[in-house]
Amino acid sequence: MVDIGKIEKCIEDLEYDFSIFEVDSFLQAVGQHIGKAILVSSVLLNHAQGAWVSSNYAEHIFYRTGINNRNKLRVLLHEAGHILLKHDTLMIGDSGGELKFKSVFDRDELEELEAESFSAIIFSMIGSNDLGQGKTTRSQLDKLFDE
Amino acid sequence: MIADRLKKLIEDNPKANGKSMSLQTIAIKAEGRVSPSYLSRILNGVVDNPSDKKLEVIAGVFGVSLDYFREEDTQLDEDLDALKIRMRNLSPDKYEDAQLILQATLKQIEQMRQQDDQDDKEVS
Repeated sequence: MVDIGKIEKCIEDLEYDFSIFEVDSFLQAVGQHIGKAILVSSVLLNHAQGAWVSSNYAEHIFYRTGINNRNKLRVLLHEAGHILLKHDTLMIGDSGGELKFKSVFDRDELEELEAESFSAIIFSMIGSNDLGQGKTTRSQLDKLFDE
Repeated sequence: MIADRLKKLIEDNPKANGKSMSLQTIAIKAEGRVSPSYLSRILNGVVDNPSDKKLEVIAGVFGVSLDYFREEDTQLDEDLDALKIRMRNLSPDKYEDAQLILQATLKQIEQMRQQDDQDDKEVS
């Protein structure tokens, strides 16, 4: 069962002002919180919408090339949720012998639900503030990605 | 891994006309101490563990040290080998995605390493 309290605390601990939400500044806040850079890039994925891989250098978030901005935001928030909730993922270069590659694509169901909840909570927060009445319009999303 | 690093050296050091340096040119610059066919066998992975002596000669052609080929070659390689074995268990579509993600991650790591090296050089 998803522990919403844990997720809300995780968001609260970020000390991020969601009333002026911006994707870059949010990911920067996540990076500062965990003490690591967050790298975001698109990949021509076939199956997955997004993925997160960890290395000694950074947390690498990938989203499928060509997805619309709403899905892109959902993927970024979802993967940021995995990172902040300290879920398992593939570690490259600092595995300590334990590689968790399978978890990138066949995640634990509870972890998936937690990351989805994380994303949904933030969506509702930014929707009820900067983006207006809980419903983000396409132009508002485009603005978030500066397009 | 050695093949990838040599490939990268060649890509990063084009001739004045922008074209890639040929294996013959590299062999000439190495004063015949490595042959074009040997370089080709490295690039194709037929020779996957050349001697330090040969690598030093090749590195010298591009103005880098032997460390370029040998540095941090262990942990990451072991991880990647283990990873590739595990990837075989994925379904074909996930396997393809996994490869794409792995390649993209490694590219980013390489870029960050190069940035670190550059920063170190600037400091020293």
